[in-house]
Amino acid sequence: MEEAERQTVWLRKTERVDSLRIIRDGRVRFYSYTYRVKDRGRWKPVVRWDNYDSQPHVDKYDENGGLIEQRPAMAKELKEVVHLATIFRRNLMAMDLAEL
Amino acid sequence: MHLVFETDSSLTHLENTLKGFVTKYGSIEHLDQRVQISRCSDPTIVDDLVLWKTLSKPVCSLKETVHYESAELISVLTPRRVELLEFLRREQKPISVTDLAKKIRRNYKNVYDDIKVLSNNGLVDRLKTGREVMVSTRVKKIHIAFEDGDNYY
Repeated sequence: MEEAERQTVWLRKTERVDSLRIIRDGRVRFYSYTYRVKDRGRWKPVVRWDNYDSQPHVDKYDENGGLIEQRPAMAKELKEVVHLATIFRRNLMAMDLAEL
Repeated sequence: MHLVFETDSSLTHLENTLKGFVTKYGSIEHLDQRVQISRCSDPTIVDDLVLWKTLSKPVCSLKETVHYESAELISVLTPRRVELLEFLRREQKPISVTDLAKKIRRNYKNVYDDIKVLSNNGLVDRLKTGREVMVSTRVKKIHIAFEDGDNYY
Protein backbone atom coordinates (compact mmCIF):
# COMPACT_ATOMS: atom_id res chain seq x y z
CA MET A 1 0.00 0.00 0.00
CA GLU A 2 1.31 3.42 -0.93
CA GLU A 3 0.37 6.52 1.04
CA ALA A 4 0.59 10.01 -0.39
CA GLU A 5 0.80 12.91 2.04
CA ARG A 6 0.40 16.40 0.68
CA GLN A 7 0.88 19.27 3.12
CA THR A 8 0.95 23.03 2.79
CA VAL A 9 2.55 24.96 5.62
CA TRP A 10 1.73 28.67 5.55
CA LEU A 11 4.52 30.62 7.26
CA ARG A 12 3.09 34.02 6.41
CA LYS A 13 0.50 35.32 3.97
CA THR A 14 3.13 35.47 1.23
CA GLU A 15 5.35 32.54 2.21
CA ARG A 16 4.63 28.84 2.35
CA VAL A 17 6.22 25.40 2.12
CA ASP A 18 4.56 22.80 -0.13
CA SER A 19 5.33 19.23 0.79
CA LEU A 20 4.68 15.89 -0.89
CA ARG A 21 5.73 12.55 0.59
CA ILE A 22 5.12 9.09 -0.81
CA ILE A 23 5.35 6.37 1.80
CA ARG A 24 5.58 2.65 1.06
CA ASP A 25 6.04 -0.06 3.69
CA GLY A 26 6.53 2.64 6.31
CA ARG A 27 9.45 4.25 4.46
CA VAL A 28 9.50 7.60 2.67
CA ARG A 29 10.19 6.74 -0.98
CA PHE A 30 9.76 10.23 -2.35
CA TYR A 31 9.78 13.65 -0.74
CA SER A 32 9.71 17.21 -1.97
CA TYR A 33 9.63 20.38 0.12
CA THR A 34 9.30 23.61 -1.85
CA TYR A 35 9.63 26.98 -0.15
CA ARG A 36 7.59 29.49 -2.17
CA VAL A 37 7.10 33.22 -2.00
CA LYS A 38 4.16 35.11 -3.47
CA ASP A 39 5.34 37.78 -5.85
CA ARG A 40 2.99 39.87 -8.02
CA GLY A 41 0.19 37.35 -7.54
CA ARG A 42 2.26 34.28 -8.42
CA TRP A 43 3.69 31.64 -6.09
CA LYS A 44 7.31 31.37 -7.15
CA PRO A 45 9.63 28.62 -5.92
CA VAL A 46 12.71 29.86 -4.07
CA VAL A 47 14.33 26.71 -2.70
CA ARG A 48 13.33 23.07 -3.03
CA TRP A 49 14.62 19.86 -1.46
CA ASP A 50 13.60 16.60 -3.11
CA ASN A 51 14.84 13.13 -3.99
CA TYR A 52 13.42 12.81 -7.52
CA ASP A 53 15.33 10.09 -9.42
CA SER A 54 16.38 8.79 -5.96
CA GLN A 55 18.98 11.56 -5.63
CA PRO A 56 18.53 13.82 -2.59
CA HIS A 57 19.32 17.33 -3.78
CA VAL A 58 18.48 20.97 -3.25
CA ASP A 59 17.45 23.40 -5.99
CA LYS A 60 17.55 27.18 -6.01
CA TYR A 61 15.37 29.30 -8.30
CA ASP A 62 15.74 32.86 -9.57
CA GLU A 63 13.12 35.60 -9.22
CA ASN A 64 11.38 34.34 -12.39
CA GLY A 65 11.06 30.81 -11.00
CA GLY A 66 13.83 29.36 -13.23
CA LEU A 67 16.28 26.82 -11.82
CA ILE A 68 19.70 28.39 -11.24
CA GLU A 69 21.48 25.85 -9.05
CA GLN A 70 21.13 22.17 -8.18
CA ARG A 71 23.39 20.43 -5.66
CA PRO A 72 23.35 17.12 -3.79
CA ALA A 73 22.07 17.53 -0.25
CA MET A 74 21.27 15.50 2.82
CA ALA A 75 17.74 14.07 2.93
CA LYS A 76 15.43 16.42 4.82
CA GLU A 77 12.25 16.24 6.83
CA LEU A 78 9.43 18.75 6.59
CA LYS A 79 9.95 20.11 10.10
CA GLU A 80 13.62 20.87 9.28
CA VAL A 81 12.62 22.72 6.11
CA VAL A 82 9.90 24.69 7.93
CA HIS A 83 12.45 25.57 10.61
CA LEU A 84 15.00 26.77 8.04
CA ALA A 85 12.42 28.72 6.03
CA THR A 86 11.04 30.36 9.19
CA ILE A 87 14.48 31.52 10.33
CA PHE A 88 16.25 32.40 7.09
CA ARG A 89 13.33 33.17 4.74
CA ARG A 90 14.55 34.59 1.41
CA ASN A 91 18.15 34.58 2.71
CA LEU A 92 18.13 30.84 1.99
CA MET A 93 19.01 31.87 -1.55
CA ALA A 94 22.41 33.16 -0.43
CA MET A 95 23.27 30.16 1.73
CA ASP A 96 25.20 26.99 1.02
CA LEU A 97 22.24 24.66 1.48
CA ALA A 98 24.13 21.50 0.55
CA GLU A 99 26.04 21.86 3.81
CA LEU A 100 22.96 22.20 6.01
CA MET B 1 0.41 28.94 17.52
CA HIS B 2 -0.40 26.17 15.12
CA LEU B 3 -3.61 25.79 13.15
CA VAL B 4 -4.22 22.59 11.16
CA PHE B 5 -6.87 22.00 8.52
CA GLU B 6 -7.36 18.31 7.92
CA THR B 7 -8.89 17.51 4.57
CA ASP B 8 -11.11 14.75 3.28
CA SER B 9 -9.29 11.50 2.52
CA SER B 10 -12.26 9.63 1.05
CA LEU B 11 -12.28 7.73 -2.22
CA THR B 12 -14.32 10.53 -3.79
CA HIS B 13 -11.61 13.02 -2.95
CA LEU B 14 -8.99 10.72 -4.44
CA GLU B 15 -11.04 10.37 -7.63
CA ASN B 16 -11.56 14.14 -7.82
CA THR B 17 -7.81 14.66 -7.50
CA LEU B 18 -7.24 12.30 -10.44
CA LYS B 19 -9.96 14.04 -12.48
CA GLY B 20 -8.25 17.34 -11.72
CA PHE B 21 -4.98 16.00 -13.18
CA VAL B 22 -6.76 14.85 -16.36
CA THR B 23 -8.35 18.30 -16.77
CA LYS B 24 -5.04 20.04 -16.16
CA TYR B 25 -2.63 17.83 -18.15
CA GLY B 26 -4.66 15.53 -20.42
CA SER B 27 -2.83 12.28 -19.79
CA ILE B 28 -0.10 10.93 -17.53
CA GLU B 29 2.11 10.33 -20.60
CA HIS B 30 1.72 13.96 -21.64
CA LEU B 31 2.71 15.11 -18.16
CA ASP B 32 5.66 12.71 -18.16
CA GLN B 33 6.91 14.34 -21.38
CA ARG B 34 6.44 17.81 -19.89
CA VAL B 35 8.49 16.82 -16.85
CA GLN B 36 11.35 15.66 -19.10
CA ILE B 37 11.31 18.97 -20.98
CA SER B 38 10.59 21.59 -18.36
CA ARG B 39 10.99 20.21 -14.88
CA CYS B 40 13.71 22.77 -14.16
CA SER B 41 11.33 25.67 -14.63
CA ASP B 42 8.29 24.20 -12.91
CA PRO B 43 8.76 21.94 -9.86
CA THR B 44 4.97 21.62 -9.45
CA ILE B 45 4.74 19.28 -12.44
CA VAL B 46 7.23 16.86 -10.87
CA ASP B 47 5.08 16.61 -7.73
CA ASP B 48 1.92 16.23 -9.80
CA LEU B 49 3.51 13.41 -11.84
CA VAL B 50 4.71 11.54 -8.74
CA LEU B 51 1.32 11.96 -7.07
CA TRP B 52 -0.60 10.93 -10.20
CA LYS B 53 1.50 7.77 -10.59
CA THR B 54 0.96 6.89 -6.93
CA LEU B 55 -2.78 7.49 -7.00
CA SER B 56 -3.13 5.38 -10.16
CA LYS B 57 -2.05 2.29 -8.22
CA PRO B 58 -4.82 -0.06 -7.08
CA VAL B 59 -4.11 0.26 -3.35
CA CYS B 60 -3.25 3.76 -2.23
CA SER B 61 -4.39 6.57 0.01
CA LEU B 62 -4.13 10.36 0.00
CA LYS B 63 -3.90 12.49 3.12
CA GLU B 64 -3.80 16.27 2.88
CA THR B 65 -3.33 18.91 5.54
CA VAL B 66 -2.95 22.68 5.54
CA HIS B 67 -0.97 24.24 8.41
CA TYR B 68 -0.92 27.86 9.52
CA GLU B 69 2.23 28.71 11.46
CA SER B 70 1.48 32.34 12.17
CA ALA B 71 -1.23 34.01 14.24
CA GLU B 72 -1.72 36.68 11.52
CA LEU B 73 -3.18 33.96 9.31
CA ILE B 74 -6.04 33.38 11.75
CA SER B 75 -7.58 36.60 10.45
CA VAL B 76 -8.49 34.59 7.34
CA LEU B 77 -11.10 32.80 9.46
CA THR B 78 -13.90 35.28 10.13
CA PRO B 79 -17.18 33.82 11.46
CA ARG B 80 -18.79 34.26 8.01
CA ARG B 81 -15.96 32.40 6.27
CA VAL B 82 -16.12 29.54 8.77
CA GLU B 83 -19.86 29.34 8.02
CA LEU B 84 -19.02 29.17 4.31
CA LEU B 85 -16.56 26.33 4.90
CA GLU B 86 -19.13 24.48 6.97
CA PHE B 87 -21.80 24.92 4.29
CA LEU B 88 -19.47 23.77 1.49
CA ARG B 89 -18.45 20.79 3.59
CA ARG B 90 -22.09 19.77 4.05
CA GLU B 91 -22.80 20.32 0.36
CA GLN B 92 -20.11 17.75 -0.58
CA LYS B 93 -20.10 18.73 -4.26
CA PRO B 94 -19.00 21.83 -6.17
CA ILE B 95 -21.52 24.67 -6.23
CA SER B 96 -21.53 27.96 -8.13
CA VAL B 97 -20.91 31.16 -6.16
CA THR B 98 -24.29 32.46 -7.36
CA ASP B 99 -26.14 29.43 -5.95
CA LEU B 100 -24.06 29.52 -2.80
CA ALA B 101 -24.95 33.17 -2.16
CA LYS B 102 -28.66 32.40 -2.72
CA LYS B 103 -28.64 29.36 -0.44
CA ILE B 104 -26.99 31.12 2.48
CA ARG B 105 -28.90 34.37 1.78
CA ARG B 106 -25.87 36.60 1.53
CA ASN B 107 -24.82 39.27 -0.91
CA TYR B 108 -23.08 37.78 -4.00
CA LYS B 109 -20.17 40.21 -3.89
CA ASN B 110 -19.43 39.50 -0.22
CA VAL B 111 -19.59 35.74 -0.78
CA TYR B 112 -17.35 36.07 -3.85
CA ASP B 113 -14.79 38.09 -1.85
CA ASP B 114 -14.81 35.59 1.03
CA ILE B 115 -14.40 32.67 -1.37
CA LYS B 116 -11.47 34.44 -3.01
CA VAL B 117 -9.71 34.87 0.35
CA LEU B 118 -10.36 31.25 1.38
CA SER B 119 -9.16 30.05 -2.02
CA ASN B 120 -6.00 32.17 -1.87
CA ASN B 121 -5.24 30.54 1.48
CA GLY B 122 -5.67 26.99 0.26
CA LEU B 123 -9.00 26.26 1.97
CA VAL B 124 -11.38 26.35 -1.00
CA ASP B 125 -10.96 24.96 -4.52
CA ARG B 126 -12.26 27.04 -7.42
CA LEU B 127 -12.93 25.63 -10.85
CA LYS B 128 -14.04 27.84 -13.72
CA THR B 129 -16.62 26.13 -15.92
CA GLY B 130 -17.91 28.40 -18.67
CA ARG B 131 -19.05 31.63 -17.10
CA GLU B 132 -19.54 30.12 -13.65
CA VAL B 133 -16.98 29.57 -10.93
CA MET B 134 -17.67 26.33 -9.06
CA VAL B 135 -16.38 26.09 -5.52
CA SER B 136 -15.85 23.28 -3.04
CA THR B 137 -13.80 22.55 0.04
CA ARG B 138 -11.85 19.51 1.17
CA VAL B 139 -11.51 20.80 4.73
CA LYS B 140 -13.01 18.34 7.17
CA LYS B 141 -11.56 19.32 10.55
CA ILE B 142 -9.82 22.33 12.06
CA HIS B 143 -7.40 21.90 14.97
CA ILE B 144 -5.75 24.69 16.92
CA ALA B 145 -2.84 24.28 19.35
CA PHE B 146 -0.38 26.52 21.15
CA GLU B 147 2.27 23.83 21.38
CA ASP B 148 5.35 23.46 19.26
CA GLY B 149 4.18 22.58 15.76
CA ASP B 150 6.92 19.98 15.14
CA ASN B 151 4.65 17.08 16.01
CA TYR B 152 2.02 18.03 13.47
CA TYR B 153 3.91 17.21 10.29
